[in-house]
This record gives sequence, structure tokens and C-alpha cells, in this order.
Amino acid sequence: MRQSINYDDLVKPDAVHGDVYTDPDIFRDELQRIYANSWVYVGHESEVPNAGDFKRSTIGTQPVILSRDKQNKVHVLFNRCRHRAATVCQEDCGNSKKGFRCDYHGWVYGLDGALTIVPYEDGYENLDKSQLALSKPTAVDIYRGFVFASMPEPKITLQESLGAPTMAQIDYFCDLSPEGEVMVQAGAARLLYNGSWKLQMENSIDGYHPNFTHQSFFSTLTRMTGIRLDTFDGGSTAGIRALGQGNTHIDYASYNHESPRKEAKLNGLKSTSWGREYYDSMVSAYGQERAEDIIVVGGTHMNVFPNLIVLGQQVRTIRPIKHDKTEVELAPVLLKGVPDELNTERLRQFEQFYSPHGGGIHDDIEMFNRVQEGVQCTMDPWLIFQRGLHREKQLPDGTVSSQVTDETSQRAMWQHWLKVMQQND
Amino acid sequence: MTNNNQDFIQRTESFLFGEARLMDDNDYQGWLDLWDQECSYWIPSNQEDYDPKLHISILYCDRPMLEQHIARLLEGKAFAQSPKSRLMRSVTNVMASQKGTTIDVTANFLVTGIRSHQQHSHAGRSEYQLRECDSGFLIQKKKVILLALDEPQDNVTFLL
Repeated sequence: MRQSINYDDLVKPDAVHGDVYTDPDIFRDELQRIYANSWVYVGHESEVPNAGDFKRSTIGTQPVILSRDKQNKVHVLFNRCRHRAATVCQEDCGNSKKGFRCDYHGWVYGLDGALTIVPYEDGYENLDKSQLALSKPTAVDIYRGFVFASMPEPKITLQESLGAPTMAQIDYFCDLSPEGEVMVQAGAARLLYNGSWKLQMENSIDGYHPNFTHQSFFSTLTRMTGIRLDTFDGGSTAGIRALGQGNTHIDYASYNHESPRKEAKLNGLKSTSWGREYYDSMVSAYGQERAEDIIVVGGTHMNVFPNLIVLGQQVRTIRPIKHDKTEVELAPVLLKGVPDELNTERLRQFEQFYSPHGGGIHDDIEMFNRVQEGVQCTMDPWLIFQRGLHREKQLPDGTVSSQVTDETSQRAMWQHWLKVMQQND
Repeated sequence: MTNNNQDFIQRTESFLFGEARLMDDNDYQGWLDLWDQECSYWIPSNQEDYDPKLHISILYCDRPMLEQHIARLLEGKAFAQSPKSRLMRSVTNVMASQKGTTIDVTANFLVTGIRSHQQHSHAGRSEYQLRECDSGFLIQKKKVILLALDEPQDNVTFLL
């Protein structure tokens, strides 16, 4: 029996011990206490738009299927035959009229997970098929198409777990569509790196690294456009926010609303016929003030603990594999009810930075690999997350805010991680 | 129409082998010089063929974007290629046909790279549209179909 880990010794208010990235026992606890014990993002409803559609996903390392049955209900099913545990769904995504058949001994399950066929059933004395449906998480709930699941009976509802400030950010992302709907239907980039899943979580809401890790991207942009992006400078008016429940946010709202950025963005949009068409449809959907706010803020840039990132044009899912191996899926969304030109422009923007051959994300991945190697040095094991601790402020809505380059976001993520990890199995 | 003229096949292959060597040598500028002023470069993602307007690609660019892509690599601060990959590739199964000054070519490749002491292989098929000019060939279109186009990618930031 291994010794239980004292998590208090690993996370301080302003520092994190290197073991949290390297210890396989801690990873095992994370799978149990975080992924198998709280609301986890599984996929987006729009990935299974039609009856019979399915998509494979994961809860931690456990394979699940997101499916839509003939009554149009979305299900999350564990991808494990109740008989002898073989996976029943092999394709990453697709459409099935009959549901899922285990190819090992021919057991068949419906799109809702119900066990429908057991070959040579008379060989069982008392087989109650109604008790042998594919296992399901105890709770599944959906916010704006984002499907979350909780394996045990959840202690709080999904809405409580997300919290109002996080839902408001998801709203900003979805409301870029005049119909309020995003569609995760434009393919996905998938990346693999040799490091802890938390490195991607830390990095996605890190406003300190862009000017350094991504200097080649920004200087190329400057050469092409003549404009130097100052969003991530030490004196930038962009912000960083802790939203509660370990959820975090890079806040461009006030920065983007500053003159002349706001006017440039709106006028730029209205200078093309399709942009004008989009602007008008947004104004008729939301009224001018809210429409302009949505367009100028431009979506969101946030983490939803533990495994969802909503950022720019994309929905990003983190799949932990081992303590030092992680897969990341980056799926740009299409906005429903907008001119194709706008969606195309957003896809090209995504590719320039986030595609596996693009100009940004691989420099992040390179840093994760370097951290995972560097953290093997244990003489001084603490990673410093101190930046801006003295100047962060609690806002009336309960969120904590600071300057964009501050590590308020990582501190909030780690404090939440500590709280969750201190629970016993 | 497939042209079986030995000289034509040899010239086409020799162009591809030259391109492969420039890519293996991480000679970004030399490789960019092989492209026509009007060009398109496409590496599809998830599946081989679709409308890139409404589906993402691993890369989808015209000449200005290709120049931007190369300029970033040339700067030396693209950390995923700093240090650079050591590369060696084979180009095989070349098929080519000619219509006027336009040549359509397909070829398979297998590139092995070493970076950070890790060795990786990537296979794929490239489809080219070349234009014959006084100095030889220029690339008007190139589409790279990676075998692993729907798999999680490791570091594929070298030239393809």
C-alpha cells in the first residue's frame, strides 16, 4: 500500500512543487479525485447533430461515447461492454442506425446504451438485460451545447460548478453567432506532448508568455501589418481573472473597447459586404449596444477546470494520458447563421497560430516538453507563481482580477486543484 | 495524358529530389524560391478532401501567407525548430503527366526526423502542379496528404 500524499506540502499560495508534474501516484489520484469525481467536459452537442450520431471522447483516461438517440436525446456512455469489457465503439465518430455492437461476443446496445441483444440468450439462467445497459455517468448536463458529465452524484449542479462569471464568458463565445449557436463541425487539430496535462491548463491562460514564447509569431505579424501588438506588455490594460471553481480568464474586454481599437474593429468589419451583413444581423439579434460589445470583445479566452478551454475561435479539450503524456484536441467552431466568409476567415486565423504546422501552438508544446525535462531537477523543486500577488483585486462579482501578465490565473487553478485533491478517495 | 518520355520523368524526379534536399537541409529561403508568385499550399486535416472554406487544415496558404510562414521560421525564434530537426526523406512512386507547360505530379515520401534525441517518421503523398519555365520548374500548387492527417501530431514544424 503506497503512502498517501500530503497535498498541503505541494501547493503554496505562490508556488507549486515539481512533484505535481512528475509523480505517477499523484496522476492516479487526479484521475480519481478530479476526473472521476466532478463535472468534466465531454463534448459539444453539435458534434452529434443527428439521431444516430456518435463521437468517442474520454473522462480522464476512461473511454466514453457521446451519442444521440432517435428521440434526439444526448447520452454519455462508457465504452465498455458489460460482458467482458471490450470497447463497443471503435470509430472516432460516425452515425449508427442500430447502436453499438461488441464484436467480441456479439452483444448489442442501443444509442441510449440499453442492452438489446445477447446471442444464445437461453444459455444464461437469470440474465436481466435491463440491468446491463452500458454504464453511464450519474449525471449529464448541458450548457449552451457544452456537454458535461459527473461520474458520482454531483455535490453541486453544473450551473453552480460553472458559476455565473464562467457562464457569462461561454455566452460571449456563443453569442458571436446571431443565432446564439456554435457548431463544432470544422474538424480538429490534435496534438500530443510529453508532459503533464496541467502544463496546458497553466499555459492557456498565461498572459506572461506570449511576448517571449511567441515572439516569432508576433514579430512576423508586425512585419506584415506594421502594427506591434501590445496586448501582453507589462503595462497593457488587458486583464487576468480568476472566475471561481478553478476557472480562469484572460480578459481583453476593456483593452478591446479602448479607442481607437474598438472603432477600427467595427469599421473594419463593416467595410466588407459580408461583414456589414453580419453586423446588421447581430444588431437585430441583440440590439446595437450588446451586439457591438460581443463583436468588440470577440469571444473569450478561458479555462473551465479541469479539461475545457474556450479560446478565440476554438473549443479545446485536454485528455490526460499519463503523468507525462497529454493529448490536446483543438476544434474551431463555425458560427451559425453568419456569412461563410466570416467562418472562413476565423478558420484561417485559427490555422495561422494553432494548427500543427502553424506559427504558435508548437512553440507552447516545445515549452511543455522543456518544463517536463527541467522539472526532473529537484535541488530547488518549487515553481514560482508569485507574479502580481501584491496587486490583484477582488471585484464585486467575486472574481479576482489583475494585470494580464500576472499569475492570478495559475494561482487560482492550483488552489482549486489543492482543494479537490485534499478530498479522500 | 501520361508522358513516358524518359527525359521528362528524369527532369521531374530531379526537381522533386532537389526540393527534398532543400527541405531536409531546412533551407527555408531556397525552398521558398521554388514556388511561383501565384501559388497555393495545402496540408489537409482529418480527411484528404473537403472544402477548406468550412473545415480547418493543417496548413492552407497562398503566396503572402507562405512568405509569412517562412519569414517566421527564418527568424530563429520559432522554438519548436530551435534547435532544428535533423531530417532525411525518400521520395518515391513518382507519377507525372504534362499538358502544355503545366505538369501534374504525385509522389510518396517518407521523412525521418530527429529532434531532442527522439526519432519520428512521417509518411505522406504530395500532389503538385508545376509550371515549366526557362529556369526549370516552379510550384504552382502543392497538396501534402499526411498518412497521419487525422492523428495527434507531434512536432511537424519542419518543411513538408
